[in-house]
Amino acid sequence: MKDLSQDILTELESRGASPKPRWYFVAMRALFWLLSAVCTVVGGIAFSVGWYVFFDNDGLHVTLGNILQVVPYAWLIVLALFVVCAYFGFRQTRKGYKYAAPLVIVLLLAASGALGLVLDNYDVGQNVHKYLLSHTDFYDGLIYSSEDAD
Amino acid sequence: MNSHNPTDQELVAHTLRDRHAYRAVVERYTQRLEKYLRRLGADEELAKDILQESFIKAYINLNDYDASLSLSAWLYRIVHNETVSHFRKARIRPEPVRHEKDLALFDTIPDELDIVAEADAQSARAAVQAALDSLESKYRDVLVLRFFEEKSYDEISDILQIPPGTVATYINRGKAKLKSAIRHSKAIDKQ
Repeated sequence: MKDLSQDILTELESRGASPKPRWYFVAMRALFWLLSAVCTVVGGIAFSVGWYVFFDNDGLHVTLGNILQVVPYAWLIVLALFVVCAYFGFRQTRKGYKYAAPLVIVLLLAASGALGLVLDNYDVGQNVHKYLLSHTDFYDGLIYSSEDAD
Repeated sequence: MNSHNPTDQELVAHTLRDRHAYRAVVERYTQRLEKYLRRLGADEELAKDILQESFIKAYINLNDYDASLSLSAWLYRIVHNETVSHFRKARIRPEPVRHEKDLALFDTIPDELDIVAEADAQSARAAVQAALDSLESKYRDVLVLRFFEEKSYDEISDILQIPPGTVATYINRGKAKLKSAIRHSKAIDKQ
């Protein structure tokens, strides 16, 4: 290993290598933070729609008989996917690895939930739900709505 | 700047201005990183190749170096990732090479585990070596970094990019598995 340092300098020279600029790394980190934030927001929207579908679906009453049907599984899956995606974004940030996965996932779920409740206050969940019902063919089949109960 | 013994941060800053200053970084860390590579299972030739690639990668990513970490931990991380990547590509399980100093260190692990007090030193060394080599890499990695490289939990966390709590868990489980593997091999020897 005697001449390793010289070998490395020669190799750097021959490859024309130079340090990547600092802004590149700053941009990469920002991108992962952004990914994590966007996924948390989408998770929040999923939560607000799920919340609306479960508790306030045009007067649909949740009873012991229909509770398993009313659970908005599709939105729970969307929420889970985006929380996992938010976790992977966070994991790639500079100190993301320092935090245990279960803790980060619980905090992201809580953030999505809190945001979802705020969005529900502004009827975002209801609007997304109604928009999807009237503009897509597949959505109605995924959700147990008040019409299904009739 | 103290030109006789510059800090790692000063060396990094100097290297960013002048590529030739990188020689000092390479020379400061080559020996210990080479030992680490050999402990991970690289032979001399492979260790040189991985070291060279790792130092080149470190140079290219020098602006990503976080001064809140030790440069040592950052370089260990790059070397570790490069080694794992190499073995994964080659699809072979590394066979760690033990230095004489390592063999002496093996004595300290059984003492700490309080498991081979009755065994003679030579058989204890062999048993610990075989047991360590048989562990899953996640346990072997933390035990090598803790006992042979003498890294702190925080440094191991920075090198392997896992939470410090997970490092502690892996060390405890790794030691338990090591203890169990040694007992198992001793039981086989007695039969």
